[in-house]
Amino acid sequence: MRYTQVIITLLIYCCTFPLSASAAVWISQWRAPDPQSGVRLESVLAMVFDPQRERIYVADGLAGKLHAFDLDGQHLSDFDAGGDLGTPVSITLQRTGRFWFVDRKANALVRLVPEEQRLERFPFSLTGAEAMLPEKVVWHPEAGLMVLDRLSGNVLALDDNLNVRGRYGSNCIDVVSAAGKLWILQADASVVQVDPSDASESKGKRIALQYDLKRPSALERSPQGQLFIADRGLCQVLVFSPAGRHLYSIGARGNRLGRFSAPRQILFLDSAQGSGALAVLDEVNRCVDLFRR
Amino acid sequence: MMYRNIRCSRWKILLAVVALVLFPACVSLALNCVQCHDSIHFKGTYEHEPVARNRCDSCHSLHASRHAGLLQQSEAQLCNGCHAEVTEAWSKSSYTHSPVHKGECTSCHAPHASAFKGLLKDQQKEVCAACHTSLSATQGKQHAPFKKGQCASCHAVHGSEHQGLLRSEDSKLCLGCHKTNSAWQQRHNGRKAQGMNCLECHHPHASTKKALLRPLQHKPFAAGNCSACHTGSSADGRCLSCHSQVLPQFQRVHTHLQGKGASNCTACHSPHVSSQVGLLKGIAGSVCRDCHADKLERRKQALYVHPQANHCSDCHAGHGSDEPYMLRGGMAGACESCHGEHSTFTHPIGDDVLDPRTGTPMDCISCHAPCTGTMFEHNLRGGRERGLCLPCHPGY
Repeated sequence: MRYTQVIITLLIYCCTFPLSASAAVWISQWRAPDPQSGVRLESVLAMVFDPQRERIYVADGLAGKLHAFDLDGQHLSDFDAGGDLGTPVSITLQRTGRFWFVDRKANALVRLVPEEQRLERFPFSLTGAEAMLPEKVVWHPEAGLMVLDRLSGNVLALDDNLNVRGRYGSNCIDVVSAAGKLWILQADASVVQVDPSDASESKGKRIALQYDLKRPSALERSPQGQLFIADRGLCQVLVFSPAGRHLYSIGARGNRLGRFSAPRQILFLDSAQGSGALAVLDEVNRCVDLFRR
Repeated sequence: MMYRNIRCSRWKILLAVVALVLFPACVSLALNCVQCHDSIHFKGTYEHEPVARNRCDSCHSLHASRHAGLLQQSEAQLCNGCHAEVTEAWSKSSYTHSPVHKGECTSCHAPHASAFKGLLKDQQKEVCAACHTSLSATQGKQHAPFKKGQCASCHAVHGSEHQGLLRSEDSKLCLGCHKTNSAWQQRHNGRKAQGMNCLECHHPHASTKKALLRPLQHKPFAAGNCSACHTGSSADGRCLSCHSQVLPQFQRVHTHLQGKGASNCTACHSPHVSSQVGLLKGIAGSVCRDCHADKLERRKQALYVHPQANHCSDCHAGHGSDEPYMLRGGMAGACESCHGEHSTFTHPIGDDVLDPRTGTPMDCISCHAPCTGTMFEHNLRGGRERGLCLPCHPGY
């Protein structure tokens, strides 16, 4: 009788362990910058991953600097373009190695061509019919430059002259480019999947997130198709299935390693060494935390 | 038969004995109390039921108590003992009247007797005006229920699902008395009454303006120049084309533009009339609540809340800020504007003092949580005896 009980207990444990473990496998690896390194960031507002160089670039908005970290979280260098970087609040990387920034103070898009050490600034107006306040910039491999406009709440597809050629979503909070598509987080707790290279598609497919989100702030899509949502109100990263079912959450409110105060951006590091790692940028803790499975 | 008579008379005797024993006990209890406590305080048109039954000991301990007034329990617990249905009703409501939330029932109710229904301390208008002092200063034409002091005809006095403790959604509430007709529709540009936010334009108590319109008016509205704004192009762009002085405030790291298309500005500001400076739709706290209800919910659970917590704009910038949480002047700066004297004796803060937990500079909110409040005095994040300090100073 006792042996039967032990066997049943073991069976139940073996069946349920993978379920419970799936929520706990994200382990915080490091925090950048390391408090001991002496490097301090004033306002951590955006990051981008360069898979060629295997570097994470973090934009310090108020200082107008771009900091480079390696995949171990070590600070490599910083760059301020002679004080001309402005106030970068978003950053994206073109396949050609060119960076695009949103400079909030100038309300402009800025293109950085590193090999030519050249900066080009494209300002927008806040009044009139063409009014726009870019919040985030994203590079889509086929459709080109995308901008999240805080004024209209739309994601705007821009042509080569930076004129608006398409609008997607409504009340948009964040946008990412993944698997050849655009993924747009909306304020109504949904993610809209759009193919911007298809001119006939403007509405896209809506995925309702089955969770009571408080203040969603960022979106990322994993290579496996799961949707990762950062929530500033809950101070967590919530993971959803491709259909929008809540699977599990990462982190909790706090300022120690692996905890969040104001998660602002999430990023999957898609490279040979970085593959599968998840970086979370926290504005109030002024850091990037890296998690691995 | 005789046996039956004996049994019947036994019952009568027993009842008589019980009555003889209990009646003097009740009487003596009341008599004992009123020997010292003037009975005039316990008489009125409406008497609290235990008082009417001379059961002073229902609420009071006769010898000693840890509660003021020799109450058996705290005021809230005591009232809840019999009036649990009231507690149950308000505890489920989204908005609670402040004295109810604090368990201060006697702020409005007389516990013994009163000349007013519901054991109110005074006439309803006077009871309300005792705290809502600004209402007595209202000028101009008065709304009929307000004039008659019938506050409860519009407000649910304990708790409500609607802001301002209104009994129902404002258009529904207003349409209970105000009928719509063709003249009404003409005045409201043909709009339907259902779902309209009447209180956005009309003052519910009194106003010097016609039709109880709120006193501060948007210039084009006051001039009857509707087409200045209603042109059909982007609403926010149109606002900003006149109010260009706020443009730099939106070009901050954090902007309050929420990407709500045409309704960014009108989410907080009324395009027509308002009682608040800046044509805000309500006082700062209530306007903010529309989107930040979760913050106020957390505050509700806290024991210690910053006294100015509802004056959001004292610390937060309304349009934009370079600081997290849209603070005015940084983490420490927002606090220093009022608590400047603390800089001379505070725990070291600033860029040179790093929080060992995060490596970020220490500031006021490293130890205090003024916005949501906490369970500790001075809105501290932990107990002063150990919980607050040990995470950074484990050696002590």
